[in-house]
Amino acid sequence: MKRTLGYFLLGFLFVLIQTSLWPHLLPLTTRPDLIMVLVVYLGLSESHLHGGILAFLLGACLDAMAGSHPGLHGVTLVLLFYSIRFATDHLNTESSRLVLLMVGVGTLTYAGLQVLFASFADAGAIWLQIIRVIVPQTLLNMFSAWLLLKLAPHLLRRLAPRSDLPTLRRMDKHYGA
Amino acid sequence: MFDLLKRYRTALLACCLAFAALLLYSAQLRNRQETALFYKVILQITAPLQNLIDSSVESLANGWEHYLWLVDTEAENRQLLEANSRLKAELARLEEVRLANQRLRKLLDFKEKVALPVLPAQVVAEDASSWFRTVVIDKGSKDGLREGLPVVVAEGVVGRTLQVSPYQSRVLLITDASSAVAVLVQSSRSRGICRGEGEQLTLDYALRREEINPGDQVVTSGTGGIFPKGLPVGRVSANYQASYGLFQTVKVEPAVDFSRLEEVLVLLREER
Repeated sequence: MKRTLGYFLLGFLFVLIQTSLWPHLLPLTTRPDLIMVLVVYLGLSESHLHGGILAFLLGACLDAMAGSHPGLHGVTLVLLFYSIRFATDHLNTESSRLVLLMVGVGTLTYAGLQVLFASFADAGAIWLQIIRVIVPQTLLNMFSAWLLLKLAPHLLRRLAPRSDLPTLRRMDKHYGA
Repeated sequence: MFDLLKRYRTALLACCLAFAALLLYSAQLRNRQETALFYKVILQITAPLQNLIDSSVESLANGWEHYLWLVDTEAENRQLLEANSRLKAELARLEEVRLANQRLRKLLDFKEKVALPVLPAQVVAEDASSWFRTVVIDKGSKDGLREGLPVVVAEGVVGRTLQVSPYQSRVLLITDASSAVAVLVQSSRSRGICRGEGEQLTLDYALRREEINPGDQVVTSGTGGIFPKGLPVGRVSANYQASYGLFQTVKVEPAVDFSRLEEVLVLLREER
């Protein structure tokens, strides 16, 4: 429960960063999608129930701050979570490179899901907008995932030394000091 | 004789010396152009010593001025640096105030032109996703806002309020893919719908036979039910007329620079 709340607060912080910090720090139209990276990580580490609920809550948060179709991010992030979750059942989750690969694949899946579900609403040519930015978006997301995984073990050791994040601990060998 | 000399020895010596000096002086007066050997020797001997003393004193003075005296200079330098950064910050603040003043003056001029009551608001955040175009403003339902109100700046149309909370609202920009604004091309009066495409707009349903040229002003037609008539939307940047079909493809460059959006005006229409 504590961990779930922690993930939710982290997601909320990411939403704030994406809405308020990125516009000042990154003068680009394409910016890293930290929430999506977090959901991919949840797909690798959390159970179907906890992770699914978290993905939905994070999507709901994002719906309040992004796009014009309430519920779109909620449904797409839940589907993304389960796609990753079912895929990881057949993959070696201890591989550190898997996270980066999953973030890349996750970005493409997420974009596809957004186009699909936005087409149910009057979303206009959103696919055109997504196609234009999908390559830099994927690269930016993969870079942010690499950076987050590099920083997370250090931050965790300093801020919450007794926290238990098994997946991160496994990856710590590859990314952390 | 010797006794006499002995008695006046001192006086005689003084007189001899005075006389010798007088002779030397007299000789010097005659040869004023030439430096006497004696003086040359003295000058030669004293020159290196003078140089040594001079350079030592200079080094000492230099050391004093540049190192020991730097105790004060360092403090003075720190004060100057502090003053410099304070003045720079002040200058930046004043520049910011000047720019804000300029923008607000433009908004004020625009406000006087618009017949509707307006509410100024500040953009506080942007869309969390790179794929959508919305911004958050610092005014909400407590300030009289509701969904579907037009948001503008002096340059033209910004968008419409999408979600309204008591103290904040989200505005759907006209560049978002799901945004559509009823417009007309000012010169030809051709009607159409302007849809967002991320960075620019596309004018849908503009008839092929209508004459639309790059540079033409596109304004709101007032028929969409949201924006009043005549607000600038953008300018035609390109148009393609195929040899068949009913409509032509028209690209529109927005009048508003959305990357520099800071203050906006919400037009408070009466609820229908």
